[in-house]
Amino acid sequence: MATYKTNDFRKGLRVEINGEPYMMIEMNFVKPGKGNAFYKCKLRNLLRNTILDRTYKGGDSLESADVEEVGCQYLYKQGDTFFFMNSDDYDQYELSSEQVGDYWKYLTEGMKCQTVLWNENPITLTPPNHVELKVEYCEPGAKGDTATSVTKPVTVETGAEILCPAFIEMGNVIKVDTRTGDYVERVNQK
Amino acid sequence: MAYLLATNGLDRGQAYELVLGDNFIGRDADCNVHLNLPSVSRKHVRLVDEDPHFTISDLNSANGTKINGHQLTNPVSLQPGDSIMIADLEFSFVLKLPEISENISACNRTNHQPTAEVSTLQRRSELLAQVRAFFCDHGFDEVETPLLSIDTVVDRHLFPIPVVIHDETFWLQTSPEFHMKRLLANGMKAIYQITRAFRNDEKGPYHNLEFTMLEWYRTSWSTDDAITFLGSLVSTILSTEAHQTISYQQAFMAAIEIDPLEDSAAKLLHRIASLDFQPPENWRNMDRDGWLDLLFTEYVQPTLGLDVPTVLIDYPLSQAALARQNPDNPKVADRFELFFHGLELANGYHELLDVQELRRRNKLINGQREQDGQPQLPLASYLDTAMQSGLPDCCGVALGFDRLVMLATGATDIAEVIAFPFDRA
Repeated sequence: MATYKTNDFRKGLRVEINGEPYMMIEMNFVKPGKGNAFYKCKLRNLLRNTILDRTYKGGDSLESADVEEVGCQYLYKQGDTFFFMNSDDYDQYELSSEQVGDYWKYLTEGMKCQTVLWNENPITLTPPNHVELKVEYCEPGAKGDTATSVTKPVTVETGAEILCPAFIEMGNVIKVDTRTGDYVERVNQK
Repeated sequence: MAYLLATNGLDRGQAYELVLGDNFIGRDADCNVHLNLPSVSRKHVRLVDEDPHFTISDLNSANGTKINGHQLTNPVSLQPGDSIMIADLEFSFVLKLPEISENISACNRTNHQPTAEVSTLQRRSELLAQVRAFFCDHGFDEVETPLLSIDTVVDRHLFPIPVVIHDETFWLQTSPEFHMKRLLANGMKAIYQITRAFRNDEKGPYHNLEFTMLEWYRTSWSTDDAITFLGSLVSTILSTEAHQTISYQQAFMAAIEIDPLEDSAAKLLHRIASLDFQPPENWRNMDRDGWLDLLFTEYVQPTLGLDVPTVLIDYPLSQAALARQNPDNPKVADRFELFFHGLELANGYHELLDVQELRRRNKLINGQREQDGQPQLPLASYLDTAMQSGLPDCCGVALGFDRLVMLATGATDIAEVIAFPFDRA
């Protein structure tokens, strides 16, 4: 494993601290003219997304973390495990329900996502910002009700419930923002 | 994974990660590539990442977008390596980040432009003229001395850059101190110079490896004379009210109720623990002055010179460097520094004249450098010889000229006041 000395420190560095991977998101060099050099860093924990403030002094070092982001496609779910495939080399990755979190709501077969690999194992998943999902079931809306302020839950192809305007019908395709879980628009079918 | 890699301005080297699907680039905080600059429109550019297809469109921005130098009017497809100009910010579109050790801009040599605005460089030129006039008015001679020397200042926390010429090691100077003192030892009385100094491993918003130093010496000055002159130079150039002085001890007491001269290292550590600061495990070997430096940069320095330039006087003797011991208080050195808006601007001494004491300090420092895993620095020097023959009683001050320009122009990064910082030199 490579070691980064303080003079290698910069934004974007991936390092390992107490056995967990971090990304350096801020680095500030401070030094009294005649005194010790200090490196004030902010680091994001790539497993838990928490922020760590750390100050290092000149000559300190950090171990590099073997972290890379790769594109992958969602294949299928079996039990509590989600299976993905690397879009470039067809390697298969397994992510647990816990690692996938709420994103299961948006995963459809073949969907292109991104995953962070740490020591070649996937640790986090990021779906596209916007996904298109087919409505499998919903209560019919009242006739003529086109106001977007009236909402109702609909069940989409993944089994998730999304709050939609009342005019959405079964068989419609809707666009959803995966960052907020919000309905964006109805997609016109060609 | 696709990225926008900033290749100019203060963000150069910064990578912005793009997400699959829609990316909005602009000044709005909810843009996923957030560029908080007035020249950038709220939503300036839309970039759709449908790997391997990437499409970019300008969202009727005020200052426009250019792809490889061509104005972007209709959406176009992007290829890796394309250059994207968003208002005045330049990016390279890449699918892979350069290796950490690579120096992005120096390797590619893509951007030949200065990081400073032309108007700032003109202001810098005016400030140089004002400084020269000030010294001329006060009877100083401007001198020029070598940048490359067989000698170097022996300092624990400075890393001089060696240059090998015909198998012999020379050093790029970390300050012009030795040469200027040799001129004083040989009859000059009031001298200044504006020169370059080099300190390895110093890089940050206030540090560039190569920087401009304004340094001056005057014989037969009291410490107070030297402080008054420094204060008047800075307040004149920056058009501020008169400077004030505070002792190193008073500044610590006022900021964090620690007595830097009397309190034990154990008490400092105890105080550090109550300040909710967690020192890393491997810092146990840091000495008392190390803890003082840490407390100083974290808590004391930001309180200094908020209204008027503030001269910090009476540094602990352990941080004397080349200053003499105070004749009335043996715990402190006749060393002073000027701070303005929390920025360290200048360092001055009533100079050490005793060559035996110089040798004792240099040996001690080389011992500390050995512990730190740093190379030994030469103990013999022309300064040693000059001091044996007699250095007249004098005071000297070094001022970071780039930081003076930063204060005069309101810059927040040294790259804004230097034409070509080290990573573009």
